[in-house]
This record gives sequence, structure tokens and C-alpha cells, in this order.
Amino acid sequence: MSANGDIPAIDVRSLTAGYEGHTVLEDISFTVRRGEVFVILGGSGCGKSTLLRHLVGLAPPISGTILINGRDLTAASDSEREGILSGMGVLFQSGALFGSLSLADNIRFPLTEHAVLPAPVLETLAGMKLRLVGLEDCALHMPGELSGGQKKRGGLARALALEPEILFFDEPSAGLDPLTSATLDQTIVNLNRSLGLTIVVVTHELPSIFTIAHRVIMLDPQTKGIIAEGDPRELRDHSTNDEVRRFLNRDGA
Amino acid sequence: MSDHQDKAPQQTHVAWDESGSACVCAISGPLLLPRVADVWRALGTHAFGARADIRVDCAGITELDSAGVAALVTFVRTQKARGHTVTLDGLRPKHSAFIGMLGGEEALVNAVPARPPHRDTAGPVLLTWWGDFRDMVVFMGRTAAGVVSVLRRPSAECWKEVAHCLQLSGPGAVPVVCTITFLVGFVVAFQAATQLERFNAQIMVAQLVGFALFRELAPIMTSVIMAGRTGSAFAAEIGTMKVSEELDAMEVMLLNPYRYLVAPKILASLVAFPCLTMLADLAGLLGGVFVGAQFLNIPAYVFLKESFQNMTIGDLGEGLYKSVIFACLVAGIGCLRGMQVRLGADSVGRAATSAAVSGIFLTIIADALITMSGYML
Repeated sequence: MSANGDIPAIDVRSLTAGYEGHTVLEDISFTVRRGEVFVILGGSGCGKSTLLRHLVGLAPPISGTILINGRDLTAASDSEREGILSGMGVLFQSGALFGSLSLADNIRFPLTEHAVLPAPVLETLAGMKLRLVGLEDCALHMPGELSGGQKKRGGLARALALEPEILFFDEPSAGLDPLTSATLDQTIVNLNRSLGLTIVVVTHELPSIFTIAHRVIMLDPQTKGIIAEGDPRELRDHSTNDEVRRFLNRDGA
Repeated sequence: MSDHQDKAPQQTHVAWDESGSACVCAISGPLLLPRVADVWRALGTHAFGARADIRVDCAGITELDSAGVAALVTFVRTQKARGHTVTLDGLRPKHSAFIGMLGGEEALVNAVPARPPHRDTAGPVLLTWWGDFRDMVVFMGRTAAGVVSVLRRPSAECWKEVAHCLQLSGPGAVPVVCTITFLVGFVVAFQAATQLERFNAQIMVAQLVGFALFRELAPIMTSVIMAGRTGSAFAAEIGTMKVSEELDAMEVMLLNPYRYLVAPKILASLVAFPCLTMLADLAGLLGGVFVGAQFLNIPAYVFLKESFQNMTIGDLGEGLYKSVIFACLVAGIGCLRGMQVRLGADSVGRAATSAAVSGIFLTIIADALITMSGYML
């Protein structure tokens, strides 16, 4: 459905990631193609989450540029930044649902603030988003009454509320049982296939990676850079880097 | 899904054709989130008369997102509810697949009600009170045990926490406590002077200000300020720890939160309240002295001499005794409200508010009881 298919969804150029006085990644570049599921992986503490915070504009990188649909997020003015962010949805690790609002109100909140929708349409829309993640029966529950997996799915429904083109997931499997986690993976695959969403996932769960990822990059805390890029199955079997093969084969030796 | 933000605006039209047997409504152009409100208005304001058949011609829809689907689905549902038959025609295959994926047909019956049913109505108020009372008794017991355990088996950790709480609740409160009691002394002196003037007994102002401050106003004002400042902070701190499961973590490590969190706060308050009350005594007296010297022609040393001559150490003692009681109440209720936090960030806010309100309330009640019993005995 895209008019500018040749521009990558995300284009990161010589990015140095980190916080003041502490760099976690140095001079990394990669692109995320439109409509693919892209996984950022690496061991604990390699800067995956920091990179994600830069990508979604929560924290400015130390240097480098991030182009979202060809528009520069790092140099954007406030109004430009708003425009770029409105095309993105983020699912935070624990869902980040607002504790004082019911699940349905959590989804209505961004919709009523950013779009003019008649009340009956808004209700239908909230119901549809909840159905999409299988939570239509919990619409009136408060987040405190939901399980960890439900909170995550609720957060996903909210992230989808504003029709994003790019969806970010921060460790979607963290804290979930294998079955719930597999269901969420399936949801990710479905969203990608049926809605054509570009999806960026930060994770280190091997089963997830092999189920969902079209391409991965692997970050390394020692070199503060990308040590592998490509199809995860390919890398698992044929990577020239010993560590990448061991990571993807779960080989502790 | 679609790059509608990047494209030149393309108009969305709704056209009606009522010449045939059915009323045909043709929607053309992109049906996307920003357009939904307009389309809905066009659909909703149309008068259908008695016609029972509505056909929505969707062949002209170029782009469709889930807000558009929601509009179509809602339209179909509302018109069906009014007894019309509605059909969606000419949808492009990818659009009907999209509607199918969103569960459009099922969504016809499953819209989310606009307002959640009212939760927690006034019914179980008595139960809440009883639960609150029980919590309080349990809390007092555990806190007392915690304080005793700190005093009997003092550990560096506990005293570090006491020092930390003292630092937070003590020095920071000095400016606001002094300013407020200075002004209270100031006001009391003025009010007293206008009344005593009638009896030509203005010199009594000094005595009155001294008594009122030492016995009542200084401890009360200090406690009220501390309820708002420190009690609520205690509630927020403990409540936040509870929400983030830090208290559970303490418990499974067999670290008694009453010993390591609550008792230190109470002990710190037991030091901070009397100290602040004494400062408040001084500040209030200064307020009185200021009024005396400036407006009533009572020199400062006369004012002070008058004040102190008529007061005993017992008057100061009563104020300090009260402030100790207030310290237990304000710090205790702050910690209790923190412990009562159950789920979510908003309950932390409620706990902080409730801690301040309950702290002030308890202070005034306790003061009335102490004063009354002192008078009766």
C-alpha cells in the first residue's frame, strides 16, 4: 500500500547510542525495510533497550541520524517529531497501561486526544482493537486486574490504536510463559502479514526470533557494534562469527 | 498500513441515490481515521424515511483503515437496530479481507459500552470502615513490635534509615514551620489586643500569646504542616515500594518492613516533631513580640518577661507531650496508608492524599481529647 516503497522504514546511520558520559553502541548503521519483521538481539546489557529508546525518540542519541520513512527523527523540530511519532506504536515491556483507566479507556485515550471520532464509532473501534489481541472480554477491567500476558496484549491494542505503520516491541516474551509468548509471536506475524506493518522487536528469546524474524542484527557489548546481520536461520548455521553461532544455537560452552 | 500522512489530501465523498427500490449510499475516496468524523456526519444526518433497504456502495473506497472499518460496522449496526436492512457492496478484496481480520462481523454485536458500570458504590461503607479499623489495629501492633525490635536489637541499617528520614522530615520543614507559626503568633497577638483593649489589659497579650502558642498552636500547626509534608511523603514512599513489589521482596528475605521502614519513620518523627515544635514556639513568640513592639507599645523585653513569668515548664511540657502524640499519629497514618496501597500508580496518589487528610484529622481529634482530659482531671 505504500507510495514510497524504495525508502526504508528505518534508516540508522553511524549512530552512537548511550547516555551522557556512557556509550553503549558506537557508530552503528542498519536499515529496516518496509514491511519486514526486524529483530534486534544480543545478550543482556548490550544496549538493545537503549537503542530502542533512541529509535522511538524517547532519548536523543549521542550522535548519528535516525531516518524514519526518510524523515530525520534526530534533527526534527517538535512538530516534525510529532508527525514522525504518530506513525509509530510502541509496546513497552510491561505494557505500560495507565493504571487509573480501564482497558477500553486506555485505547480510547490516544484516539480521543488525537482524532475526532464520533462516540459510537470509537466504541466499535476500541472493541475491534481489543478483539485483535483477544481481549474483548476484558474491556472494562482495570490494568491491575490483568495478568502479565493480558497487560502486554492490552498495551499492544493501545499501540495499534492510532494506526501505526511501524510497531516496536520491547522484549515481548519477557515474563510470559512459553505458550502465551508463542501466541504473542503469532500475533506479531499476523499483524505483519495482514496489515503489512513494519515491526521492530528487541528480544533475546531464540524461539521467538526463529518464528518471527525476517532479518536480525546482533549487538555486542565488547565491540559496541553490530556483529551479525541477516536471516537468523542462515546465521545460526553459517555465521563465520563463533559467538553468533553459539548464541543462536544456545551453546553455552 | 497506508501512508495517508504523506499524501496529498484526497477528498472523501458520500453520495446518495434514492431513485431505485433501495437507498444507495456510495462512499468514495480514502476512508481513514482523519476522515471518519466527516463521513459519519454525512451518514448520520441522512433521513432514510420509511425505506427498509440501504445498500452501501464501497467500490469507491480507495483506502481503508480500522477507524474506517469501525465507522462502516457501526453504521450497519445502528441502522439494523432501527429495522433497516443494510448491505455492504463492492468492497475490494483486500478491504473485505481486512474487515474479516478485524472481526468486523462479530464486532457488529460486540461494541464496548461507553461508560463502565459504576464500581464500588456507597453500599459497603461500613465494611470499609471495619476493614480500615482492623488494618489500623494490626498495623499498630506490628509497628509497636517493629519499634521495640529496633530499640532492643539496634542495627546499623535501622539507624541509617532513621537518620535518612530525620534528614528528610526535619531540617527541610524548619522554614515553613517557622514562617507559619510566626504569622500565627502575629495574628493571635492582634486579635487578642483588640479584645483586651476593652478592658485596658493589653499587657495580657503577652501572656495569652505565650499560653496559646506553647500549649496549643505550635504543636498543632507543626503537626498539620508535617501531615501534609511528611505524612504524605511516607505514604507515597511505602506505597511505591509496595507497588513495585519491594515490600514483597523484603518479606521473602525475612526483612520485616515494620522494623526497617515503618519504625525508623516513627522514631525519626518522634525526634523531629518536638524539635520543630520548640522552634515553632520561638517563632510564634517572635510574632507576638513583633506586634507588641510595633503596634501595642509593649517593648520586647517586657513582652517576654510577661510571657515567661506566668508560664511554667509544664506549659512547654504539655506542648511537647502533644507533639510526641501527634508524631506517632501523623507518621503512623502515613505509613499505614502506604501499606494499604494495593495496585497501580493511582492508588499511591490516593494514599498520599489520604495520609495528609487523616493526619490532620487525627491531630485535631487527639488535641481535643488531650486538652479536655487535662481540664477534667
